[in-house]
Amino acid sequence: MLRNWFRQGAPWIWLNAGAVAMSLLLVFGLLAFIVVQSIGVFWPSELTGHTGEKLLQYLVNWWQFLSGSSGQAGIFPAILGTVLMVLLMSVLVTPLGVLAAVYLHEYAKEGLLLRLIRVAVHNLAGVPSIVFGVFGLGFFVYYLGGNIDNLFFNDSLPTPTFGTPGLLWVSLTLALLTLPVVIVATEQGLAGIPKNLRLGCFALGATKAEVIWKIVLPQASPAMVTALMLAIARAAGEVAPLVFVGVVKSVSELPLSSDFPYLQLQQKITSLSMHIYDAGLQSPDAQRAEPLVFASALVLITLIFILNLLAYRLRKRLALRYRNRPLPE
Amino acid sequence: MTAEFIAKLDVQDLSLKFADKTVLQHINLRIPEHKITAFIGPSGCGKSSLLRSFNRMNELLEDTQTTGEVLLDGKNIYHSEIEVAELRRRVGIVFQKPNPFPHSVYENVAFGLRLQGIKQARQLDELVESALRKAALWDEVRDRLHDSAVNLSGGQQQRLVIARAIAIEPEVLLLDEPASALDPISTLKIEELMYDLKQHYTLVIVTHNMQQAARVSDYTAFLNMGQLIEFDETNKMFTDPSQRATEDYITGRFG
Ligand SMILES: Nc1ncnc2c1ncn2[C@@H]1O[C@H](COP(=O)(O)OP(=O)(O)OP(=O)(O)O)[C@@H](O)[C@H]1O
Ligand SMILES: [Mg+2]
Repeated sequence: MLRNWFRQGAPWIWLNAGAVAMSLLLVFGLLAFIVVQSIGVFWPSELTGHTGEKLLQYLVNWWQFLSGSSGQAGIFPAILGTVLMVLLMSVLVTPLGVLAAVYLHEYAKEGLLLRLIRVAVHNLAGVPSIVFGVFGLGFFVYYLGGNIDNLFFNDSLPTPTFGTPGLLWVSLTLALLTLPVVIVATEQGLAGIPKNLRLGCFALGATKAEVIWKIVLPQASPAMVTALMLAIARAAGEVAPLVFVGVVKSVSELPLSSDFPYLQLQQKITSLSMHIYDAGLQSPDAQRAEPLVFASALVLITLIFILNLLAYRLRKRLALRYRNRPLPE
Repeated sequence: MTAEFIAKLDVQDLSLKFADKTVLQHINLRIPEHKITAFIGPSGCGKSSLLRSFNRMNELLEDTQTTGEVLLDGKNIYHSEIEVAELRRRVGIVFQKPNPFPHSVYENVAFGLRLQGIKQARQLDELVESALRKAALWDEVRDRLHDSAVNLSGGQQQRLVIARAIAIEPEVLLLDEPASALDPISTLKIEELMYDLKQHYTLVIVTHNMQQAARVSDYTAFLNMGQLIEFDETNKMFTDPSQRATEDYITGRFG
């Protein structure tokens, strides 16, 4: 009986199903917890009043929370900071990661050197993020930023312009942090392209560059989007390394301006993750702060969810455009 | 084995190795211009590999090594100064397994044309249609030119990759079992196409179908285990082969 039960693989199936159930429970439990904790924060506390009015007040409160500046206990600067740093990071890391992956996979000769580079890239993914923060401060802020100031902003010295932590360095640090993820995921995408397609392209008189441009990159584009999704999810949650390079608790000025170039790359920013950390641990009034922390967490999760949804739709569009389903037999 | 013809391709002492395995051994062969030459031989004897060596496709596969020469109009294509992309434009190949790009039918055929720098929509339309007509595919795909090519049937894909190859008008067309997945009517159309094409182009086909080789080709080469056993006019080859092995293979007594 028992032996049969084992032979049918029943324990195995139970273990698997158990693991899946556990994961689901944890993920949904976490989400539910955050939602439950934060959903009631902005419900008006007055006992009297019409439900409709209360609902309106509730929404207004939410809106004030989302759009208010730091001084008004709002998180708009944090939302903006997160979105900007993540977008700028994407702009930086995607071309760099894709180019590196294309070089490694398409051009570099197999050999000891290439193997070493691969190992290095994989290990880079395992470096604790705080190390990137320290590196960002030393290399980007002091070295690069200092040199930029010497070259272009000499007039305003000794007050540093780029030689001090700011949005650009935050995004660059994040780009470096997520570079291995993008390289590895893109390389996997490149490796998955059928050899036949490349050969077909060469056979029509294409040069290697044309093959890469017309077949390889389009075919690998869904993989690139996946890579970017992973990178964004990782980046949006970072706090510790970014404290070194330009993320602060609260800002008085937003990194946007009404005149060219609109984006103030040297400006310090704040982010949702930073806000959660700060409000959660540093606030003198824990009673009042805690619900706001959960509300911020909800906003962060929603933001990442939206970004992922956009990326997912983009990937589906790309996969559909360059679909390569084999015929059903 | 007298040959009074102009050789479009002249293969001289060609050998090919995959890793340590010798696949072609000291092949000497002249491919006549404006004729159809058929390669026959048992599976794995190196027909496809020999075909690929005519436009240097082998070097795109892993770990291959070619020695010897192939002259195209008297010029060695393995010379280091040859532009490989230009060579492949002149010597087109259709692989054994159809490999349409995961784009639309239209874009598949237009692909090579676009590589040539043809951009005008009208001109592209015309060239695409004419290539598809020649490959006997136009009637089946005229209403779905912008559907994905991977949804075509196996036989349609085979004709699509032929259309793709002839669209850029190569001087030499190498066809590796072009009719292996086709019904008799499409096969006939492809054979007619080959017949038309040979007025202007040089064709080399690989086939396992003896009747087809006898029907369409002017010259036949019989390969076995990486060696060229016999090469002659098709008529001569099929009626009075000089090698015993050839006779056995043609009559199905091989092995
Ligand atoms: N990419 C490759 N790597 C290693 N060996 C290969 C490769 N392609 C072909 N070969 C070997 O080269 C030999 C000749 O193969 P080829 O495909 O040229 O034969 P063929 O005559 O076309 O056979 P078929 O009639 O089955 O298509 C075979 O022994 C095959 O195993
Ligand atoms: Mg073959």
